[in-house]
Amino acid sequence: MPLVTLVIQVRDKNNPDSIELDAHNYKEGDVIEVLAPDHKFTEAEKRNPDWRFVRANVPQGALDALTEPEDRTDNPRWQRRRRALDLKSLGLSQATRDYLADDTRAVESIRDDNIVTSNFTRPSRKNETEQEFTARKITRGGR
Amino acid sequence: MPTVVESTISQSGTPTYSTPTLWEAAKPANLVSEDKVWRGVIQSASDNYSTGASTTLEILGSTTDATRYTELTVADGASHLDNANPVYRFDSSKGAAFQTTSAAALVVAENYARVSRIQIKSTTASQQINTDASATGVKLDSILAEGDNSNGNFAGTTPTIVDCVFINRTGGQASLATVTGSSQKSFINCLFAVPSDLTANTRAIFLNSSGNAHFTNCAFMNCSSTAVHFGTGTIAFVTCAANNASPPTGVTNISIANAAFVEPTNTNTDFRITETSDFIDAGTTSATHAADDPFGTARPDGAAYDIGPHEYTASAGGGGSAGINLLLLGVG
Repeated sequence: MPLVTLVIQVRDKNNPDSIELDAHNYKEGDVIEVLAPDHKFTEAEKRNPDWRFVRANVPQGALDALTEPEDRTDNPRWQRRRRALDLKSLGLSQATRDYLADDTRAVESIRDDNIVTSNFTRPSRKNETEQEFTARKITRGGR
Repeated sequence: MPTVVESTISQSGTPTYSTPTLWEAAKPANLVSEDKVWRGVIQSASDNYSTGASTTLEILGSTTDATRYTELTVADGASHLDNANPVYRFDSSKGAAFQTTSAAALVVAENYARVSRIQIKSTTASQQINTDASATGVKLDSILAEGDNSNGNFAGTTPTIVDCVFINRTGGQASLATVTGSSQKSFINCLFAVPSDLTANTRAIFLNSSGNAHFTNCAFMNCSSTAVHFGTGTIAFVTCAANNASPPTGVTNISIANAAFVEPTNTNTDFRITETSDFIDAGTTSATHAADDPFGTARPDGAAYDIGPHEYTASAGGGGSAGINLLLLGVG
């Protein structure tokens, strides 16, 4: 079970122009990239308020699944990640929740081997209607 | 004029971003409303992004237009094109590289995105490069895609692929590239090749029933005797070359020997051409594409464009820039 650094998106990146483009953007809980535990992040990466770095032991077989996109077959609204981490999981420690909520990014990274256990399959947006997309645009936060 | 937001990308030094994926993930969701071009420049010849079974870089998600788009390239001196022999053989020690084991290394699914000067290898994937069906106006330039299976899958609306090289390293495979979708895909001065000492591929191009491809000044080497392409879609060739006895209209039969590559075999493959090549001045001069070859030689050097990605220039000697390097070293 290798120790890795997960780069996690902590808020939705929204594109109001179309359902398709919006689906292709990173959303809350997406693992953007899996990197080495000693990966040297740049200053721009350390400051990005939308990202967090969580070091975790992840089973080898689960690593690829973390960054797997949704199946594109007959689905122009495929999502960039098929699965997302549940960042609001009650199973996360208070320290991890505090870290995830801190947009100042005072702490560069945190170690939490339990974060991947909150892994779940994100619902597909394949059949989302324009009305539902518009409603989500109105209600959701993030940039 | 849009603002060009240029970021450096590298695994060393003090770049803006440490990986292409993080550079891409930091991109605004709407480049048009922000009036920006999002440009990333990989900095070092030793930047080797090897991502195992996962795609190395996927470009998608932003609203763009023809003047406000995403662009990834490699800095001068950091590309495989800037290094001495052997070129046109993937070598991550000789230039910035993307590598995967079982996924497309590069997926371009965003309108008007541009990628250039990178070398790409996937050992088992069937699609090292994938221009997605959802994207319009994608431009690929001076990319080396090398693999053990098919090298590219080209879909989408009017992508343009210029000066790219697609090499298969096992031979005997079905094809080097697949073209799908009814919108025309334009290939200009590209090379599709299997090294001469390997078993020929069944074909160079697989064109599905709705595919539409247009090849200008392209070369197809060591694919089977009759099938430069295969499929029932729309295909056209203009001043192309293949070592096939009965090539289709627009393709001239030029043997590998008469193409006079620097080294067409698998060990030290170098598909640049030498001074006796029948490719020289055998192409069509383009007013809009490929004004320079990947090594910086202005086209045409002579009466017309050469066929393939390498424009032979007598001043550089056989092998183009390698000849210059040897002179600088006082060798030969």
